[in-house]
Formats: sequence, structure tokens, C-alpha cells
Amino acid sequence: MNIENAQYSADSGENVCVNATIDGVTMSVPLDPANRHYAEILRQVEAGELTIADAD
Amino acid sequence: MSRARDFADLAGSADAGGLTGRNLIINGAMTVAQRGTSGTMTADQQYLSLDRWGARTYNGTGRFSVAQDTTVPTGQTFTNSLKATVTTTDTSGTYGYAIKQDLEGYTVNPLRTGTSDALKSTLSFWARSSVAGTYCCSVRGTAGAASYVFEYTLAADTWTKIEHTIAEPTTTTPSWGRTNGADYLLEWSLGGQTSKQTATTESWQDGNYNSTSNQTDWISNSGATFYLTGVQLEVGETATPFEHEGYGTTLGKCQRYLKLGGAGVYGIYNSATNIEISIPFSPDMRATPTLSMAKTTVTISNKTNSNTADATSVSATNISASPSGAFFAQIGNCNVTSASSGHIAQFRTDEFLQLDAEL
Repeated sequence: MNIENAQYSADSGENVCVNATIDGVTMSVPLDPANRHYAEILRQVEAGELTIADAD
Repeated sequence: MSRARDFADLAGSADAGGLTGRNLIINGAMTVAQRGTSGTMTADQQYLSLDRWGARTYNGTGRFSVAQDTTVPTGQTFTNSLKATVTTTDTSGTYGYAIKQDLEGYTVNPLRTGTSDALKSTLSFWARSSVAGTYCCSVRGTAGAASYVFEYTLAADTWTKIEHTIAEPTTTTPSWGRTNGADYLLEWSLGGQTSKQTATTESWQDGNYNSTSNQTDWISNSGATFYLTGVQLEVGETATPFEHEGYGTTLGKCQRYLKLGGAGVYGIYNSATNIEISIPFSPDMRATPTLSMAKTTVTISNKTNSNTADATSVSATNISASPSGAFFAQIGNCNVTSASSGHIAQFRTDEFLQLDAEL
């Protein structure tokens, strides 16, 4: 997956998802390790290939 | 009628297609395509058209499209097939390409994976290719630590039914997940990756393999086509007739992994631009889904000030959910109805939300 512009999104001060552009599509990815997009985000972060920006 | 006669009739009914629920593959007749009827790869691993059927390459630069097609084997009760077409060739012979379906643990548990009393299964399917030769099909366990590869042969542009009995998956490496993760990765190779080729066929082995060196290099042929339909994986050593099911039944199974929605959903503006909605999922999805827009132009009816207008670039901006529903999701760029925070809105566009819990 090509993942760009990853940023946490928060509700009431708590991160609830990562907003990112994945393969050219804007997506809201929940923080569920069983979700394939979030699993790939975690893998790329672990590999040093991706950084997730803090929530606004 | 005797009890023995009852059992004999019951055994025979599977051959006649009478027993239901035996196909572990979802959408094997290629009837459901919620994402649309065609799409072309832009990345390594994607779902482009038909539900549950993925396209992938292992780091190759070749590309192919996937479409729901009406070319089907003659004399069979199929109306659709999966059609893959090479759009960008890769002549390196180095990287792998495949059509795939990943099965979750809950689905393949009837095979008793990873136990000493694991069961054989039989995979049957119809395939056709414009490039004659030897092709490979593979099954891999969780994370690809255990593999099973077999070869089959296709003549050019000729539908061929393949039936193959897969040995018992007794291997305990890896440990099988058994729940909602990917436990059984099936691939139809369209170009063998050298690092994933094995000389061992028709038996389980440790390691991550999906083809042999005999695999036809389909991806190197511009415009080459590959068709697949009637895919069935069932417990046992016999390929029974394909289990046809109603569209609604197949759609319901697919919606565990992908759901489209949004028509008629009410929400509330929490700013002048964002609408917050909640969505129950039925059935529960496999995992908490990713939210994206299947359509970016939607009609919004502001019930508070009686304005209705089209928003042309809506986007997913937030989701807080579980596999059973979205507690809230936020749709952005909805500032077309003179809205302000607290206004009530209704979406009047069909299936613009895409919720993805695929493997």
C-alpha cells in the first residue's frame, strides 16, 4: 500500500482513527490491529517508512 | 423408508448439489461486485472489482485489470467470471503476480487446521487463459509460514475445470489464528516470483511459496487474459457440483468484508462543514472497518433550513467504530446548504459510504 499524509484524528481529546491517503484514496482508518489498513500503517511505522502526525 | 436409505440419499444429495453451506469460498461464481465492475492495479495489493477477490503483485511493476465478465464455460450454470487483463507487462520474470482470496480462521476451522486430525479439502474451479501453459495455485497458512502448491495446465483460450484435493493441513507452524484473521491464503499465480518458487508440490511444507519454476509468465504478455469462475473449496476428497446460491446470500457473506451505504442516513452538522452520522452494521463486519467515500458527490438535504444541494467533494474525516457499528463517523466538505452547527441533515445519495474490513 502507498500511504501518505497520515494523521491521527481525535474525539474529546482521544485518538480514534488515522486519516490517510492510501493508494490515492482518502480514508479514515480505525485503530484496530485486525484492520488491514491499520496493520499496514503499524508495519510501515515500525519499519521507519511512515510517520503519523498528531491530531489537530 | 429405512434409516439406511435416508443416509444413502443424504450422501447422494451433495453430489446433486443438495447440501448447502459446503463452499468455503465466498463469491466463487463472481456475481457480487460492490466496488464496481472493473478496476486496474495501482499498487501491490488491491481489491479492484469483485468482492473478496484481490489482485496482487510482490513488488513488481507490471499491472493488470480485474473485471466482472460474462464470458463463462459453455453448458455450465454460471453467468459471470473474473477477467484479468495485462495492462502493463513485466518481462523480468522476477516478481510474482496473482489473483487471490484470503479466508479467515472462522471460515476454515472446519478443516481442523494445525491438528493431527486435520481434514483434506478439495478445490475446484474453471479457468481459461489466452496464454497456454502450466499454472500454479497455492494455499498458504497464516503469515505464509506454511505452503501448499500444485500445478495445472491450460490450453490457450479454452475453459478447463480443475479439481484438486489438498492434503490435510496438519502443520502446526504457524499457529493457526482460528478467529477473524487471515488463515488460508489462496492464490492463482499469473507470474512466479523467483523467491517464492518451490520444487515441492502437492504437499504442505514450511516456508512461503506460491508457485514453481514451471509457472507461465502470463504477466509478460501484453493484453493477455485470464478468466476464473466456479471456485469452490470444500471439506473432503470429492469435488461436488458448484454450490449456486442466491445473489442476496452471497451479498450478505461479502458484507462481512465490505459494505456500501449512506442512502437516507440522517446526521447532524457539528460545524458548518462536517456532518456527524452513526451507522449500525448488519451483519457485524470482520473487523472495525476503514471509512472512505465510494462517491464524492452527494445530495444533502438540510432539514433545519430546508436547503438541498449537491456537495461535490465530500470526504471521510473521522470514524469511531467497532465491528458492529460506527458510533460516529464524520463526513467533511458538506458546506453547501447554508448550514451551521446543530442543523439536521439527510443524505440522499445511494451507497456513497464505503466500509472496508477486508483481509
